[in-house]
Amino acid sequence: MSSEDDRKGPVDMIATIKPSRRSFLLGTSALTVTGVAMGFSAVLPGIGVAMAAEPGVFVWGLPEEPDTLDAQRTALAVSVPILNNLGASLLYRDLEGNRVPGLATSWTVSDDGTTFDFMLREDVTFQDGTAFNAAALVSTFDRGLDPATGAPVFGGMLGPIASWEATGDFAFRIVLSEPYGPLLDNFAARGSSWLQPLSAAAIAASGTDYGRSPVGAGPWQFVSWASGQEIVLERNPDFNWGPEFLANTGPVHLERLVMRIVPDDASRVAALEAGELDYAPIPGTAYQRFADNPSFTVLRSMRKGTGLVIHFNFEHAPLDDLKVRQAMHLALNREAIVAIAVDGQGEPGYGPLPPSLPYYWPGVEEIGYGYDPARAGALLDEAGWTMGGDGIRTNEGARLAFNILTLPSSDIQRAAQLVQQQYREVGIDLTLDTRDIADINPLLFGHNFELSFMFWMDHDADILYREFHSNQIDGGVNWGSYRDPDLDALLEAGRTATDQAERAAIYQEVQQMFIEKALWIPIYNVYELYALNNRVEGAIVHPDGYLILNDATTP
Amino acid sequence: MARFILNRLLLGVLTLLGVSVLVFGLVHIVPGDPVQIMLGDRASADQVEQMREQLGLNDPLIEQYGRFVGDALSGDLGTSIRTGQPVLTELLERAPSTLTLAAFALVIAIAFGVVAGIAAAVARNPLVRVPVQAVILLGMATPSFWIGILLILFFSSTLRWFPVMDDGSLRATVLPAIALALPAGTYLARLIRTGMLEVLGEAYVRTARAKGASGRIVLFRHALRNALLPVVTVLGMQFGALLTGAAVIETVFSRPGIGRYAIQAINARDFPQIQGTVLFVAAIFLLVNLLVDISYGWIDPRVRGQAGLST
Repeated sequence: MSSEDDRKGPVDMIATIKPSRRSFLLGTSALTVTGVAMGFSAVLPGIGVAMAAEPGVFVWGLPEEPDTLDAQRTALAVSVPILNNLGASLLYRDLEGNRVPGLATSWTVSDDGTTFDFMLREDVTFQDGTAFNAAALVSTFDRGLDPATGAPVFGGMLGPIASWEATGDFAFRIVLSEPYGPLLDNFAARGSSWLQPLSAAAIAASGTDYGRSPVGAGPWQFVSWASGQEIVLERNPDFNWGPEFLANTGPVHLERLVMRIVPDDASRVAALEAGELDYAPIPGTAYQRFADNPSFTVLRSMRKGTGLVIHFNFEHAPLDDLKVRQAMHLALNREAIVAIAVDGQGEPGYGPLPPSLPYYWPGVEEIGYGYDPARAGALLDEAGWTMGGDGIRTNEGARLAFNILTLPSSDIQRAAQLVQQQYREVGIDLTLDTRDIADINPLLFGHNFELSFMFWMDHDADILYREFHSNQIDGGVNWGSYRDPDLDALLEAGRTATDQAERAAIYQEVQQMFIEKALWIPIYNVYELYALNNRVEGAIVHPDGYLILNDATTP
Repeated sequence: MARFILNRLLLGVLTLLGVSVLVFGLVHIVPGDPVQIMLGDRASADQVEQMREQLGLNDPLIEQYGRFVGDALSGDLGTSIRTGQPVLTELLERAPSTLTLAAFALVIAIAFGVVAGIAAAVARNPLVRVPVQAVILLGMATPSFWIGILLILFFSSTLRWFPVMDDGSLRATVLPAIALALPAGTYLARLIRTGMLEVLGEAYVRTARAKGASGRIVLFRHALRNALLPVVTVLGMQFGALLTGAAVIETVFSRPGIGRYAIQAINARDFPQIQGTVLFVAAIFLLVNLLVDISYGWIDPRVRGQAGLST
């Protein structure tokens, strides 16, 4: 089928029209299209009826469609807001970041940090009428940790879990094989929806269709899912509690929650402006437009993870040289990169953790690397790399040139080109090697690369264990093969400590070490932007970056 | 005629078989291990092996292909890795949206093509001819998704005549159909214009004029009917182009169709979804072209005689 070839066939109109008439032509084409559309609109009934939002309905725009609403089987971040509304968590984090009771009214951790006891609420039922109790949690864990379920996230969030049991009707115990600090935070974080208790009866009743007819214990219950179009939830009238930091601890005020799937950025912006969506993510380019619009509030929160970092392969000389790595930090003008790559919707990165993660230590902004190309040059000189005739440094015949793996997405490409240009100014020749993720992964896991751009999303500082502990070189994601017993010890201590203050102290030391040893180059951390229609009252934006609708109304 | 249809049908089946080989080969041609790609970074070697076994990727190729074709013939296009749903079910859910859009767009394309094509061929007044030719030129040169966004901004955001997002109504199909119809419509317009200019220079048109037939009769009875013949031929192809174009238009207009499904499938590297979609769309395309071939044989008796496999 060669419709392209066919089009080359007949007469060409181009010859008959002079290019100077271009502006005139644009005008006529718009007019003609207008005429056609008017014709259609005249035929259809109900002209001029704006699709006004209904009272009691909240329409939420999603950029993509969830794979499944089975909390244990979904792998996509887009499922999280739906599951958060559908289900409930053992713990929550209040607006100040403290852990507060949810389905668990209290919890204790044994002195050795391996046994966790949760006391549960006794007045909660799932939306199918099944009672919530310790047995429900046991069956939830049985299923989530059964390899046959193929849960992509569940097990990882529980760390070294060894056993789980009901120690009473409303008492649940988790035993770990070694201490794991992130556990309680994982039950309280935004992503806790992956761990939410599920009704075994509902799963048995709907079988393989469970992911299309989920049941939770939360304030909203599932109504329908029209593929590619929308997912509808309605108020759960039996919901009679809520985390204590919310005013409303009964059923939500809104009637219906409609999640519309709108993949195209421009269409999502238009749908917001037309009042068809109440709330949706917007691109950085639309930030100012919504900020200036009195009908909207723009919600900006930093993503739980980085926008972009550069990963070193420490086994590739001269990347094993501290001075070279330091120079590569100092040569980057991060402000300029943020302005162009993400339209200013980000902050320069200084340490290994973004400010949006717990245990971020603000001191990195003091001791982190700024933009200082002169010092970068001096460090490279000291390391023996002197400027060559072509503007690229050399050392005993070797050129200071690297190949960097990069993904084809437009923000990363823009950033990559700026990095390339800024490196060239200090005499480093960077070749951008753009590949699909499927091509990049084998190279990274095979430690077969020099430099790589990458970004990550997570909710705990323990991410650094996976990226830098020496036991993660084989099979893990310590792609750069970094080995340092001191860092290993700190990362182990960080993941086994359960006390928040103790973990903070450990991760402060980790962040200092990353900067001293110039272990990876944080370039920027990005904001997630949402526009909220001001007709909605009482919606709360959690500092963790999600919207809470328990108190919301749409008059 | 029966023999002609049978021949065409046979050709269609052969083509579909060819498509099935390509679609099947897809999994084996792509760089990297598709199973590793599907399962992602955190998958263990055991999980990968289990998935390979589950998908039957360890069996001999010919056996795998046989199973693939057998399953497809019995209506089983596999199960999506991403959603766990049968691919055929997912496709059938989305097919009505795409087919409605494509059919609507085809009607608009034909209407636009005929009117603009005739106007461009016969209008002497430059105030008519130049704008028409300009629209045809721009329609050819402008990507339909851009037109789509302009239509949304003007008719949905500003005038509020149509919804921005699809709500399943006919009203919501108008703008995407116009955007989708534009490339096909302008192509048909050029084809008709050429045909008209050719036919209007023919001796029999001059004869008709000499006999005193009115301009209208000459135009519609003699010229247009002949100029339309090649249009019927390309309609099938154009329908294929519409199905392809739907991928972009469905994304812009948030329509839950097959085109967007294909994009999702490719982004998620969901091989059963990708294979199923290609096979499904190829089957629709072949069916439409079969219908066009048959109708063409009906319209032009000369075609029936030369309906062998060589055509």
